[in-house]
Amino acid sequence: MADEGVRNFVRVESLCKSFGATAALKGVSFDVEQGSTVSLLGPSGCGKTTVLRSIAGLERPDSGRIAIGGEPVYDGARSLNQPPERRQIGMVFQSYAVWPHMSVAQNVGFPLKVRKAGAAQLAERVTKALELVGLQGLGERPATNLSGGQQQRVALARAIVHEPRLVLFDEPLSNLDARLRQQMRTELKLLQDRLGFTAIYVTHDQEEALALSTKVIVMNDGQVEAIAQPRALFAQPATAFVAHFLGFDNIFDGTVAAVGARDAGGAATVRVDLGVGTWLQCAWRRAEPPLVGAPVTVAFRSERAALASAPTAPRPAANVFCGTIEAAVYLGISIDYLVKCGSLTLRVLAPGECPLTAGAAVSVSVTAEDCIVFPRA
Amino acid sequence: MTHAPLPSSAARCAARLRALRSPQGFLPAMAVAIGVVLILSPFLATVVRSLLTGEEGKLGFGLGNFIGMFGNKRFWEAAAMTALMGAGATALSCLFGLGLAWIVARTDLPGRAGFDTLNLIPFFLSPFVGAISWTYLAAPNVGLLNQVIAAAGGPADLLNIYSVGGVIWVLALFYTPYVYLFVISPMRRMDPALEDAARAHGAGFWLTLRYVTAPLMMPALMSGALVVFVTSAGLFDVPLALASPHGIKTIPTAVFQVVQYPSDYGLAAAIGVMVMTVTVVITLMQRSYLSKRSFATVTGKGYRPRIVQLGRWKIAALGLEILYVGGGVVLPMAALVMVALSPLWTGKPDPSTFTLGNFEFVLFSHDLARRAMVNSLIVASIGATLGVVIGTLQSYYLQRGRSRLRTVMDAFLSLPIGIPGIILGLGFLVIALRTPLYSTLWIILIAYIARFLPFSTRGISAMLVSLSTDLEESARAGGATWLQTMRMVVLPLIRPAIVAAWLMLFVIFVRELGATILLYAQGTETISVAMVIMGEMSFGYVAALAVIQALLLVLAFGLFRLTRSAFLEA
Ligand SMILES: Nc1ncnc2c1ncn2[C@@H]1O[C@H](COP(=O)(O)OP(=O)(O)O)[C@@H](O)[C@H]1O
Ligand SMILES: [Mg+2]
Repeated sequence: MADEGVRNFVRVESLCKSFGATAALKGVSFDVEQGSTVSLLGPSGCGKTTVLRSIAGLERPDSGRIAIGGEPVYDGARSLNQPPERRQIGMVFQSYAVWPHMSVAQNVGFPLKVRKAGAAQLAERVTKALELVGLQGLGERPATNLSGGQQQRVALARAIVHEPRLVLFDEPLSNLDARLRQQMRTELKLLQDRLGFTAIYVTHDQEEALALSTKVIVMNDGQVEAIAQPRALFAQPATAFVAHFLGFDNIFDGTVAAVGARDAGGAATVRVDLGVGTWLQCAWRRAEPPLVGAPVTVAFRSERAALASAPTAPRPAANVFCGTIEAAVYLGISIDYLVKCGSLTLRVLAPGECPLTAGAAVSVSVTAEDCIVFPRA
Repeated sequence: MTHAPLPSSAARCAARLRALRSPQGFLPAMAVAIGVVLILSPFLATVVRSLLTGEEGKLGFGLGNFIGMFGNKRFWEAAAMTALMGAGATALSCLFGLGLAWIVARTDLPGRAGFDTLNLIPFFLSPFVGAISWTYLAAPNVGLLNQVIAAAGGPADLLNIYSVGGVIWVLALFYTPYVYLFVISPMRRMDPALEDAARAHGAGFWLTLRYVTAPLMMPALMSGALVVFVTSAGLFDVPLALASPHGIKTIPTAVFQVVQYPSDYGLAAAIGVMVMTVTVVITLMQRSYLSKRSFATVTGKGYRPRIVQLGRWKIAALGLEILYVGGGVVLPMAALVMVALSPLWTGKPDPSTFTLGNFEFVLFSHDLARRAMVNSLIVASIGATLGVVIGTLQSYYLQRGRSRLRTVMDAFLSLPIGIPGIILGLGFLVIALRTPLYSTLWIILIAYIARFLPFSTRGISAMLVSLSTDLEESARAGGATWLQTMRMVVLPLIRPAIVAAWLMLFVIFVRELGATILLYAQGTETISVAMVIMGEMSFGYVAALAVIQALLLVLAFGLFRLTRSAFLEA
């Protein structure tokens, strides 16, 4: 039991929840190891907050099971639902939820106060928590007298002051401006490494998820779409939805024209016909081999495509598109090109020095390793 | 032109005068000036009169009135009684108001939307009529409820509405909506994460209530409580109906009695000065309390309040709703209608004898009653219209003007809100005595506007403040004059607030008694005055008149619900 509690410190099984007619969760399952940070990543409205609130006990799911530290806290079949105050957690809310009628120290000390900690111990731990989040000396300030970033730190200190077994974060940085967000992200990472708490981190920002977590759970419309480590998720998204969400901005439908032999790494080269006189050689990494003629989706990032001037149309070749530049948006470090190629529109991000302008005839090339292919229903 | 010399003070003066000559400067400033005169004149008249002693005709300055007042044991008794009734009514209203608002805003009680409307009906009904109706219900021995109790084997004088408790009960019923309105909007709009955070960090339901919810509600509750205390303690008509018959005096009824023949205007004015001072001090204390703890629980986002599952407590919640709506609306209205339909009220309703005779009499035959209805309608409709025009201009001055006096004026113009109607009426009586204004409808109209203008100004201001100035500026930039901008942009956009303010003033003017009772004369009686006068003749006529007044008020309430209930939350 104890060992189970370490490996699957938080265990969520087939969680379902509806609000009236909208099904917010349609059977969500995942595990969180002790001491790790897991991100729930997905577009707004996909049910991330609902999962988090169910783990906290603030929302009662319709069915499924949740266990924390090997101890069941919710079990739909047994009508078990521990109230939030008994789950020994800390939580950081999107709106900070810093109590406006209390001072900073009163806010941070609240979890200890309701646990009836002694005054001396309370003061000591509040001071320590404020130091950890960089608010030393501000304890007596009214909480409303703080900037957004500082309120966020108060919320953070309040969530860790009682050394909870699990800390839940609901888009904690989404209300901060871009610069502060990056800074807080780094600080949060350092704090986590230092204190080693188990955390579940909800966000719709892929960078935050990749930066902070050991495991990312991508959600889509109330379901788990993929579970992967950050690097694997970024390089080899499991589904077209995940690819799209993680910044693969060239996504096209095609059909399998030919299947090559598998190489030493287990990847087979697949030739995909896009129906505009061009085909893409892609690496197929799935176990089951594709069938010739099967519908597929291919995806690659605009940063990984190369643009070259091509005044006369080159011979058709693998992984090369010919077309004309439709629009060029100068972004400083880079130029964002839209290239029209038959019925396809491609996006290419070229270095800022690139001299090509709208109307120029160009070719776009991309390597087989950068093209990901997914079966299409 | 970049190096224009600093304007001399004469040039600045001239510029200010020129600004006043444009309609944009002149009209709002004029409205504020009217407001200031309407407040200052009764106030100064009362102060001056309180310092005049001696017989009429050979008056001299002196402190005799104050010495007489403070040395009078009965004054202190009345003051203590007033404070007791105000405090009791406030406490009970807070209990009702908090409970009902919580049930409607935060629980899953079925039919909450309907209860939200029902809870507000007493806000529009007349407390005076409520007091009269409750005498039919709970007069000792003859009251309908007492008869029911007696039939069930209890003592027939268990309930006695002619008592301090009776006054508190009726006041609480009719002032609960004030507390309700003050607290329901933070309850609805509070970020639910504030409570969730407490739950998640180890506090159960009760600890969350104690440490988070209750303190967050406190400023709104205190504001509501203060309004209830000041207005209910200063109310004249409920103690007149329920306390005077047994010789229990309050400050408002004492003032009324002192002004009756043989009048002692000096003593009455001294009491008036006392009351005004206390009211202003309380209001200023509240301002400083609120400015110290004005934290934003409402951040403007559309939060979905967290709904509490009541489970077995549904019965208790429903019980509170039934107690309140029953006591404030259903029972008094039912009793009133039965009395109005009975040819001779004997304390026992007998449906076989029900007739419309009382209505026919007051509507068509009785001169006083007919005159009173016409007078009330005239005063209420002209008064509401004037109040809305002045109020709109005042709020434009307060929200859009450039004057440095704005904040001072904002506080000053709200002063009458707490001043009892009978005290303000006394001030206008002192002014109007021996002038042609005396015994006209005009003086009543002026007193009404002076007393209730802040409601209109505040309601319209609340809407104007949320209206972006860009909308006006783009009209001006597009070539419209100020008057055109007002007519085509501002007024259409704040129309809901204007309509709501009109209906609100109409309701208040139709039922007001305190500000009228010292100012009416033969020929200028209003409906409420007629009810006082006819109270000595027949229950049936009074009840019929009260039903007609209540119908008018309910009609206005219906229109009000249709236009904009958000006005009430201003
Ligand atoms: N209290 C609620 N009442 C009704 N619908 C809700 C409630 N909370 C969430 N939803 C709905 O459930 C879905 C998932 O919401 P949420 O978990 O907040 O998504 P996310 O956090 O991923 O943006 C959305 O469609 C949302 O509108
Ligand atoms: Mg969310």
